[in-house]
Amino acid sequence: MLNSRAGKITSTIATLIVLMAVGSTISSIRAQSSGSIESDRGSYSTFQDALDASQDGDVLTVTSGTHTGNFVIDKSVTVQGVDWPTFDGGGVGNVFTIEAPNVVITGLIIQNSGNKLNSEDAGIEANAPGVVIDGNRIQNTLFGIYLKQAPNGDIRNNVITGMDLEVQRRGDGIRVWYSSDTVIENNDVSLVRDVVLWYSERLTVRNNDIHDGRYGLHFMYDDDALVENNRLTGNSVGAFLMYSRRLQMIGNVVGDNRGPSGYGIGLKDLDDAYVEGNLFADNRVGAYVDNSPRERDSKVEFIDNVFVLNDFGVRLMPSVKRNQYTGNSFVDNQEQVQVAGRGTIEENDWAVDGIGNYWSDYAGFDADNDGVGDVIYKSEKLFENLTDKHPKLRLLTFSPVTQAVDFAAKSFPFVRPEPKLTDPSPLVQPGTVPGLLLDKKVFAWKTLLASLAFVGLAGVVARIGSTKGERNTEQKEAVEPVEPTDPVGGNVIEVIDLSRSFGDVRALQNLTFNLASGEGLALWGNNGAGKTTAIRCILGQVSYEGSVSICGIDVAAKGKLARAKVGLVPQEISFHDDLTVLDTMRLYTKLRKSNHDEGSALLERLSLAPHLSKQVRQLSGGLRQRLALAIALLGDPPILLLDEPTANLDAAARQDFLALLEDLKAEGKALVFASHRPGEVLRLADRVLLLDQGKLVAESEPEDLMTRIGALPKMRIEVGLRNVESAMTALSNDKFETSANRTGVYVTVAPGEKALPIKTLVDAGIPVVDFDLEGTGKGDIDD
Amino acid sequence: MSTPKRVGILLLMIIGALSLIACQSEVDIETTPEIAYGEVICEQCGMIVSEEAQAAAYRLPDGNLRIFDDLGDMVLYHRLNGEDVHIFWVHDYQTGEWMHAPDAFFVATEDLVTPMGHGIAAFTYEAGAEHLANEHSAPIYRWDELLEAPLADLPRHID
Repeated sequence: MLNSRAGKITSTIATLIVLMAVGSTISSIRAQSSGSIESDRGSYSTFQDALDASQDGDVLTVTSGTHTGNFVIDKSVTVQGVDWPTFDGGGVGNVFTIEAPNVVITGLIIQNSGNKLNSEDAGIEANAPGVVIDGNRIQNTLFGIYLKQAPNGDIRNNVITGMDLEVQRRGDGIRVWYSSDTVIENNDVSLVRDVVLWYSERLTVRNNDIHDGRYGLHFMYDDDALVENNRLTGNSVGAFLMYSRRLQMIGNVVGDNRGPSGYGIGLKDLDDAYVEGNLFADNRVGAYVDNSPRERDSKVEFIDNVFVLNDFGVRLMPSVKRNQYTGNSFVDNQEQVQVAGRGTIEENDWAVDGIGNYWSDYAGFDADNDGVGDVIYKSEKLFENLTDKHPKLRLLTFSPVTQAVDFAAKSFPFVRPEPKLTDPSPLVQPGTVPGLLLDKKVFAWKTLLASLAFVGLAGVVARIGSTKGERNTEQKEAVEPVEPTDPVGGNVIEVIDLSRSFGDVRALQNLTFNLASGEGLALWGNNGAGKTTAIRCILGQVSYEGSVSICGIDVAAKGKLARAKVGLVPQEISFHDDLTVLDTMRLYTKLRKSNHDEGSALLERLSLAPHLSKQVRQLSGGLRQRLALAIALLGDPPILLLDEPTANLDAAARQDFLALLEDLKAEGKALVFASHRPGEVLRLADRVLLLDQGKLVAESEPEDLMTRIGALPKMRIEVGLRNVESAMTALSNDKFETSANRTGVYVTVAPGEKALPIKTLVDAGIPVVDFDLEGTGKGDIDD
Repeated sequence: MSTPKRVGILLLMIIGALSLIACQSEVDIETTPEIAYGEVICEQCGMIVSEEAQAAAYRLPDGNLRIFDDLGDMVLYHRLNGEDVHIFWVHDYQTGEWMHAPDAFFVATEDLVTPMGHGIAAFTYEAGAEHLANEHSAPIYRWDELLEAPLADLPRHID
């Protein structure tokens, strides 16, 4: 009994000691403050002391160390960190609460707020105007930055990472609440619930990267907001924008948002929204529009956006009216435009001022080559019509039922549905819209151009006109695929009497050539000679007369199949600069229906693996060109088509790139390239076609052509007056082209062969005193 | 395959496809709603229904369920669509349990943050409602009053 009681007492004492020890430890943690704090009032050992002593306008400089606690800043001070001091909330409440105006917080690590949603624990909560939160790392906080009735704030350059909780238990990375005129820019926000911007006018949200959350952006009651150049990726929804007026959404990348609704952007009850130049890629729904606009005298404009590879390009609720769509491109979305439920969307405009949209499933033609299809685009697929009204039928998408239903609609007009929409002025290829984006936001159309060039979609539009009616439609090709045949006579390209005219101008006249595997063919000529036109004809991107076949496939008849055999590297690579290298490859991997492993392998092979997380804008010219080549090689095409491939590269990058192409050629790739550079031609080409004003002037070996046009450099070798004659003889015997020059000789040399004449002379026992290279005026030889 | 046979198969496929439209599973219209949080979409606003405590739903006489991420969105949707409703369900603000909306007491205040900003909370007991109402100087509504309250009187309304 006693023992038992003694045991209990011992146990109780032990427990008390442990509790006291724990309490002491907690107390010491909360009191802990290391590092140094300098302010206008002096030096302090704890941040709280420095804060207490501070006055409005003071600057508190905190150098490294950790400062634990919940700090209330009630004076207008600047807190600036040096060497990343850490402020740790210890898992309780807010780390910082700002109660004074114009506070600046910069250069800090702010972490471990409380995790209670009810009390909305945050890294920084500001309740005063004019705060600047710049360049901090805010991590493991429930809410990152919370502006509550704190207008004129500036949140920029912060990295905000939330708590690793279920998404509904997380807080918001940034919450702006009744805080008008706030600027949010250059922040990276991840692992949070949402970025919530409510009841705030004139917001600017620019250049942020918001990913892996629920709502990238959630707007409500925010008039006159500008949302520009942000990346909203990997969220459940990219941006849900509601109950606001005059929102401008420009130049954003909205991709891979595939939550339950999976909207790239959702517009609900918005008036006068302006959506321009955005890329919507690989979302469930590119853009969802519900009851927008609300007011009779307002509208919603979608201009020059690219909707690519979404399940649904645009989803409109049946009540939607007064939407205008112009210059947009709808590329390979499973359903380009969906009407969600019963009703029509006929009170929306699908062309404005004669400019419609590009539709990758358009099967019309452009006889007058004005860039606008001569037949209106109608979306009238019966199966889509049925699934819009009865979503359960979507289970049958991609099954034979889809084709059966659509076939039935075509065969029996009485079951054909009313067109879901009609675009009276469909664009047949990108680039025919006004230069709006090219002036203001270059990337969108350039991205599209690049996309279309790589996947060859521009040629999907079947044309008549000057072409002699030999083109079959791509639609037929899609239904009845034809296996490629083996190259005839070993040639992978055969071009016969190829001609192309623009009105009275003959851009290309009766060009004939062929090319075998492992061969290099250069197209040489001045601007306007017809090089690029020839490339576009080979790709089937423009109409032409004559015959082009790739691996035995007639380009005019089966363009898509033929283009699959070609990898294109355009002269100027126009990626979306905001995408990373990896995201870019993923996009094109999907576009070319290739697989991720192949994309990764190509990035590895072309030494791009160390740059996967870099945005394309951060790449050097050489790396951009490598990325273009990697994309061109997707699907392992036997032919590479290159348009001035090194025109924009410096000398070192040019050499690297040419070496890559030489390797590919050695592996059996056939290269066709347009070029102005003798060095490039000499290294890569086995034959050169000299073009002038659309005509083939000559076909020759590279050295012959270079010599003919005086493009090869001359080497002046000093041998002394008495050795000139014997040097001329020795060099001529070795087939060098020579001429005498008093005490030396001139020798014409190809790149990479400058040592050969020297060797010839040394072997002949003729002393070489000196040598020099002389330029040609025909461009660098770049060896 | 002969053409008549092909046409026959084709018609069968179409009929099979169309018959899917008619497929409806039987449901017990009295059971509490089952919501796959984080996976379903609010009928009114189109957003994801994530927060259980704020979710609401109503069931139609044919068993179909309308789900909302915010109690206020249910009120709004019903006002806009006027459907014949069998049962309205809301969550008790304190316990998180489902309850019939007509049995609940409601407090509407701007100070309450709800997914769509309606700021309405439901309570099983009037005392709970009174506590919150007193704290925020907010009115208490019964369900019928809430359905008919002037929009301007509610914290968030469609202007």
